[in-house]
This record gives sequence, structure tokens and C-alpha cells, in this order.
Amino acid sequence: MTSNTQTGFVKVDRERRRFRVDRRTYSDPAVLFRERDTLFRRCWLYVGHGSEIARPGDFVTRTIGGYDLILSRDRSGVAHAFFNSCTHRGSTICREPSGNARVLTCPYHGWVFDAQTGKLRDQAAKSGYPDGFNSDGAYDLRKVPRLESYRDFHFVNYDPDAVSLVEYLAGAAEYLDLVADQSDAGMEIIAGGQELHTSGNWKLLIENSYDAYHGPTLHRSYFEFLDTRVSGQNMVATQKGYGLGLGNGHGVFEIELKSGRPVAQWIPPFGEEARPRIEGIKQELVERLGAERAERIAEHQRNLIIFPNLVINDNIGLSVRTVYPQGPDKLMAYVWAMGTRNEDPLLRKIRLDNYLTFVGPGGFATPDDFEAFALCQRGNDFTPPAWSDISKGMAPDEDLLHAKGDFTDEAQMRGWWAQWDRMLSGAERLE
Amino acid sequence: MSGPMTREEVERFLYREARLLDEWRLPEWEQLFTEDGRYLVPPVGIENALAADPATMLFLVADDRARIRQRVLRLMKKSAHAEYPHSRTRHVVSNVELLGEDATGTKVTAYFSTYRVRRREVIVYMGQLFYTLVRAGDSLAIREKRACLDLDALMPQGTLAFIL
Repeated sequence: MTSNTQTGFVKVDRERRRFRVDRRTYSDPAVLFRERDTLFRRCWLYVGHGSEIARPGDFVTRTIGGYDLILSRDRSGVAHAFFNSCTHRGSTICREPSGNARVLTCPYHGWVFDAQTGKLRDQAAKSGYPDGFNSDGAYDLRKVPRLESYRDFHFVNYDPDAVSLVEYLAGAAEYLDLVADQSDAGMEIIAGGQELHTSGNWKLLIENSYDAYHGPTLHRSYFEFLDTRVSGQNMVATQKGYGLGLGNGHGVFEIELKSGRPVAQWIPPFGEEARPRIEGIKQELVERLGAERAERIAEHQRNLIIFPNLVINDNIGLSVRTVYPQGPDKLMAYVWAMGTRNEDPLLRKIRLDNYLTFVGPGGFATPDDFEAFALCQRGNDFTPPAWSDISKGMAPDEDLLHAKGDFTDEAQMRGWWAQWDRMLSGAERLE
Repeated sequence: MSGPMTREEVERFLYREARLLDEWRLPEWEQLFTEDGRYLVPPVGIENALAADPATMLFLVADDRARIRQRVLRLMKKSAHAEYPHSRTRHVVSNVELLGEDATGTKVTAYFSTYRVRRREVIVYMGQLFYTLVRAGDSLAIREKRACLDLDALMPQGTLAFIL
């Protein structure tokens, strides 16, 4: 029998092993409104990596969940997240994407805030305000209710009552460890972060990011390139792995594929000079983490989703991206490349070169993904209402939030949608 | 031919390059590069895109000659979905200046506005080109083409599926 879920947008038919999603979820403004009100107000949202604000006074500005934020680091090394809006009349204060500052001055009436603590320092006026006007801190920069980090990945939450970040991450924490453990010097964001805007509902990019099913078809031209680059053999056929729901809507697929990784899988196009260095990195992993874990970090690839919208693709490169709606049929994504701190310059060069083969606006694969979003959006908007199918590999009795399947199955996507349904409906369980 | 390049000669070469791209004669376009030729598109929104190095920064494109060839092979396939059917493009090149010579070749800059039409939408990519050109027989060849976009985000472009 079929059970409609609380929202009615997700239909689970266990007997016939069908899991379907109403396509209006990709186009209906009312759905988007509910997503903003629930997902982006109650979930932990990735705001930035510690390496982007390495020194005291460093800051970055970005828009997270519809709010302009300043993420900064104070003198004692503590990170803060402020709303980028003057407490006087609301003007945007900080207009640079990043920098280092002692104070932030509002361009309108000259209110001056401590860049590190958010304290109001000066109002550029000698008269008109009583003594102790800001004694209760009411005019200090407004802080985001919650800011927590895990392994230097910083997240905000606009819900003061949210569970802790670690509790929220559930099974995904272990997969963040597999990224953070790649170097004992730590990880860092590489210069050249991207902000991309394109057609398509934001969930299309989310789903695409941890969907291995589409690889051999949509990315045929990439795999043909990879075959000639690496081995002359059919690389698609060599892939094996699993997909897994990690709880709370998080999910992953993990595969083995010899497409090369600076940490730490050498392939011939990297050149002989790099070979001993990459093998040395693998040896260091073995010594630090043991053979089994080192093998997993070095030789396996992972596409990870942290619900609702942080994607870490640790494959031919290491990319960190977060995605937001810009209306029902438009999306924006911040995309960063990540590497190990103090990385050997030759390996950094190889890392970036390998990354560009597949990922990014000019890569040999990402543009085709973006084409697919536009085509799906068109198909959703310009045909009668219908259901999208996310059944591949579904077991009749599967626990939707923790299901496991082959990497080309859609178990991890069902977990995401199950959580989406829970969040939008406020229900405890999907069915 | 030998001796210093003239602006007229360089303009003729750049206009031909633009026409090859707009006519999707990409295998011929690829032949304009030297064996050590590079095609680069630095990140947008940075201070000095001319000095940026793809070994330390995430570029949009950082192709050596072999990768240029792979890019062309891919774009000529039906399975390069982002460019199937091929979008209409118009590469407008202007403000050509010869900046001087060094051991690597003649340094040239030009402005560009490239229009891409896809599914009834017109999307503009604009910025500044920096070339290193060398003599090759009767014609010129590209040792480096660096296309610096005047954008701070790829909005609304999203991707760079074709060649600037």
C-alpha cells in the first residue's frame, strides 16, 4: 500500500518498492517559502572553513540561508558570525568579500563596530544620545544565534534551540573526519572560490551532487577523456562502492576509482617526480591512522551531503559547495577547492589540474550537470504535474534515513527526502 | 615573415580566431596554438588576474596544449550536453594593443564581449584578453591566451561551457 507522508509531497509504496517525489516541490513558490521557514531557519548551515579566517581580524562575508553574514575571528582566536547590517538603520556595513579589519564602519552615518567582537565603538555624533545608550549592548552588531564548528568546518544555526552541531551531524561526522584527517597540518580553502548562479531549483544541484547513477550517461564525454588520460581501459566498469544514509538526512556514496588523488593515489599523468611524494603521503597516513583507514582516505572517493545543503565531493579533487534557492527555478552555489595546509607546491599544482578536468564552470563534466538542471526544470515547469522517481535499490523494509545500497542506487537520496519531509511537516517520522 | 608584429597583423589574426570560434571550427582553432600553448581563464573577482597562477589558485580553465585538444574533442561530441546543440556565439574583439616583446613572444591585450545564445536567452561574457603571440611561418601562433572576465560571480552565466 502507498502511504502519503505528512507533507503529501513524498509518496512511499513499500510493497511495490516505489519512492516518489511530487515535482511541484521544484517549482511551487509555496514550497520554497516553507523550505526557507524550516530548512534554512532550523538546520545547521555551513558558513565557512577556519582557514579562511586564519588570523585575528580576518573576516569573510557571504549570504547564508538568505541572510548576509560576516564571519570573523577575534584576538583570542574565537570565530564569530554577525549579521552584516548596521544596528542603526540597517545598511550593509561590510562590502568586501574578505579582508582583515580592526573596526567596521557603516558608510551611512558612520557607526563604528569592533570587527572582532561586534561591540559598538562610536556613533560619529557628539550629541543626542544619553549616557549609557548602549549599556545593554542592544546596538552591538547582532550575532547569529548559534555558531559551532566541527574539525574546522564552521556552521551557523538561526534557531537558538537547535541541537548541537555534533549531534546534528550524526553519521556524517565520521565522513568529515575522512576529509580533516588527510593531513596532520590541517586542511585549507584554496584561493579562487566561486559563486555560480544558474537555472534550476536548488534541490536539483543538491541531488546531482551525490547521485552516482548519472555518471556514465550524462558524463560519457568525461569518462572517454578519463579512459585516454589514465589507462586506456573502460574506467566506468572499474567503479565499485556503496551509497548510505547517515541519519538526519545526511548521505554519502563511496567508490573506488583510479582517477588519481594528491592524497594519495598516484596515476601516470601526475608524472614520475610526483610519484614518491604521493607514496610518501600515503605512508604517512598509514603510520598516523593505520593501514585500513589510510587505504580508505587515499584510494576511495566520497560524495557527501550534509543536510540540507553542504556538499563535500572528495573525488578527483576536493570541493566544498553549498547551494541556495534564488526563487523556485533559480539557484546559486558557493564552490571552493580544498587542499592540505602547507601542501607541496607540485602536489598543489597537480591537485588543481586534476580538479579542473571534471569540476567547475569550465570543467569537462560540471557544465553538463548544469545543463541537466535546466532540462529538468523545463520538464517540471512545462509538463502537467507528475512524480519524480527515487526508488533505485529500495528495499521493502528499509529505514529511509539509514538505508544502504549500491553506489549507483538512490538510498542516500531517499534519506535526504525523508528528512526534508520531516522538516517541512514538523513530523517526527516520515510515515 | 619576420620582424616585429604590427597591430594590423595581430588584429587580422585575432579576428580570424574569433570567427573560427563562432563558426565552431574548433579543430582549426586548436591549430592556432603552439605545442606549448596554454588557454587560461583565471578566477573572477580577483585583484590581478594577469598575474594569477593556476598552480596556486583555482582557475575556471587552465589548459595546456593536450588539454586544449581534449576540450575541443569533447565540445565536438553530441555527448557534451552543455553545448549540444551548439549555442550561437559572437566573439567581439576590440581595443587591441601591442604591449611589447620578451623572450616568450609578443604581448598583446584586447577587450572582449562574447555573447552566447542558448534556449532564447542571451548571456554576455566580457573582459580583457592577454595573449602571448609568436611567429609561425606566414602566420602567428598563440603561446598563451588568458581571458580575464570582468565579473565578481558567474551570475547569470553559471558555467563556461564554450571557449572564450
